[in-house]
Amino acid sequence: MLAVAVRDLVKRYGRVEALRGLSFSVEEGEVYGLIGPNGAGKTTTLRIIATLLRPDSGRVEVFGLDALERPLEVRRIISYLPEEAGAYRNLTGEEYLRFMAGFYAEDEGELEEMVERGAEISGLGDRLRDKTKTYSKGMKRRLALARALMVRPRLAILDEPTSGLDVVHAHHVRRVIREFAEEEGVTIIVSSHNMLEVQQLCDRVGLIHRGRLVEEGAPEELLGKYGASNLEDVFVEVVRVGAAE
Amino acid sequence: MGPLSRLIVKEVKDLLRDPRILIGMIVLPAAMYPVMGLAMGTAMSAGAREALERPIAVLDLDRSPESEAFTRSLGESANLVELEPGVDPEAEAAEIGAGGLIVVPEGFGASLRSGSRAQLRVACFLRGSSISETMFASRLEEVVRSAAEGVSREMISSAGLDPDVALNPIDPSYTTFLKGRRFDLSPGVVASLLAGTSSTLPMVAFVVIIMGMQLAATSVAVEKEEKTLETLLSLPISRRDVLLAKLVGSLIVAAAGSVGIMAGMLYYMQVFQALGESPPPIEMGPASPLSALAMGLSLLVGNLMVLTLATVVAVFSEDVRSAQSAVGVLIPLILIPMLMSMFTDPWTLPEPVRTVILAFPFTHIGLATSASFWWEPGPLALSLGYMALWTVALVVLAERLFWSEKVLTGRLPWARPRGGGG
Repeated sequence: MLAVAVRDLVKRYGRVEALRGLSFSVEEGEVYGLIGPNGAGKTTTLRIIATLLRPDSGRVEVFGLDALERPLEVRRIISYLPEEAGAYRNLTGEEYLRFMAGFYAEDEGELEEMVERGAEISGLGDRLRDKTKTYSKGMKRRLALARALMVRPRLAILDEPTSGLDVVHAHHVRRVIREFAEEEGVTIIVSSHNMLEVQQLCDRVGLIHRGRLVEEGAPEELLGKYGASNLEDVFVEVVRVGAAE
Repeated sequence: MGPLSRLIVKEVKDLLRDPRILIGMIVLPAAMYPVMGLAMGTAMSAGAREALERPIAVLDLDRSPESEAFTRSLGESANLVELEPGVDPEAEAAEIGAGGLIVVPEGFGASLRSGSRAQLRVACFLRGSSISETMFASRLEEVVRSAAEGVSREMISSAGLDPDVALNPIDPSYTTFLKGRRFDLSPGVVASLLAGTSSTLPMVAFVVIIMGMQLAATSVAVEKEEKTLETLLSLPISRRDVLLAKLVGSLIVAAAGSVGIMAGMLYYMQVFQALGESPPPIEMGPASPLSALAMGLSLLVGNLMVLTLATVVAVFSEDVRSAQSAVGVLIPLILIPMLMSMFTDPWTLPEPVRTVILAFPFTHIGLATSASFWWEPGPLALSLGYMALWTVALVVLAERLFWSEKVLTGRLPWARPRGGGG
């Protein structure tokens, strides 16, 4: 079953055309990477799938649900981690997880289970009892990722999950995403401008440039097709060929 | 716990735990009045004591029975120092640190005996503009007036009359009717009580409303500043619940803060009453429990209206600072009609002015509160209904904004441009 089907998305902000007929699809259980430079349209695409923005035209389906017509139903099965997502400064890490879990859990038992899972994913230990305003950027990111994954969504949408993190925190985040996808079978869309990171994480990647999908495939497949040693080289080659045509 | 209650609890907890709100908007304003009252009370007590103890020099150049009676009378209410004739009275008064100098000139007694008004020279030596100086200035005049009354009483007694009757021959019994309510008080007393009531009511409403607006704007803007709004809006909850939680949470915290401020203000007023100002002879409270209930309802509807407006403004703000400055722009728009309803009855103004003022929704916060107080069901229903209409319109607008992208992408014209995502 298709987890996500994006068809001919067009989105304008005033005179700026952020998306120009973007189409791609994601299979259930897949980790799909959207890669491209800043301003390529990654965040806009993820926000539309997460039902936060409406496109000017085009369609989005999440597990067969029309995201534009049935946003509340879509939100029940997805979890969105925005870029630079913060947490409520005056709540402790545990209170934050509990607050968020409350919107998904059917009963108290399930809520406790989610909070426990969140605590484990975050790896923050006793620091969860501290207010989040005392957390470093890396700790906040781990908490936000734990929040997104602890509810076991059918689709997790992660926008630049390691942006601005140091090596240790970035490694933790990447490991958690990979393990969670393998163990829980959750479908994940992850965006990044760090193409090497996406190469390690994703089953398939889509290269976005100026609001359009310019290439798509498994990382190894793309490396072979363009005779490149990494996705960065693939991206440069794709953009160069596109410009020449 | 349902989504709405969960959101409200979070709002209240997050607002109350924020030191900027807890200290800046609740603790400090609540503590400000008691501290001010204590400081003013201490200063005024010390000033009153000093004014009482400060000597007044008197020089009797007449030495008549009348002047001696006058001097005796002065001595009953002041710390009097008698000067000997032949000295420079002003230099001598300065020498002993007197605050005032009273010189009874020759011919004082003779004037009174011949049925003419007697002359008296009074000098006051002020050292500055402190409370004790201004209190002493008033006291000096009071001491002279009181001693003069003593002389009058002696003259009236010697004429075989009762001084109490001669000085105050009529004992009027006043009844004042105000908006259908009867008060067995003089019109002057009622007017002064009314002045207090008509300024206190809108002031109370104003404090509650300004605090609520700041809180509502902060609670939306802080979600943007701390980058939590996108996550919140992607949760499986209705955006109406998000909006309602923000309004109710702000209302609860504003109400709690207002109780603190009101308690502080009451303490402040008590300090002045304890300093000798007599309390009003009657309580001029709301006409009935129903009237008190209507006052609460008026404040609630008025509050909801302005909180929703603050929320709408905050949707376009980038951060807490820009939200609060935007709310600051709105405050005069609310304050001016409120002040107008304090000092004038809009219904008595000329037609075009009245239409403009009554069309302004914030005018009705003061009008509804006042109509509740005096229990005037017609004007009350009109003001409440008008405010309710505006509230519904603003809630619909706010809800639409929360459903639209504006809540994520909207910004005030003067806000800094934000770097877009990928």
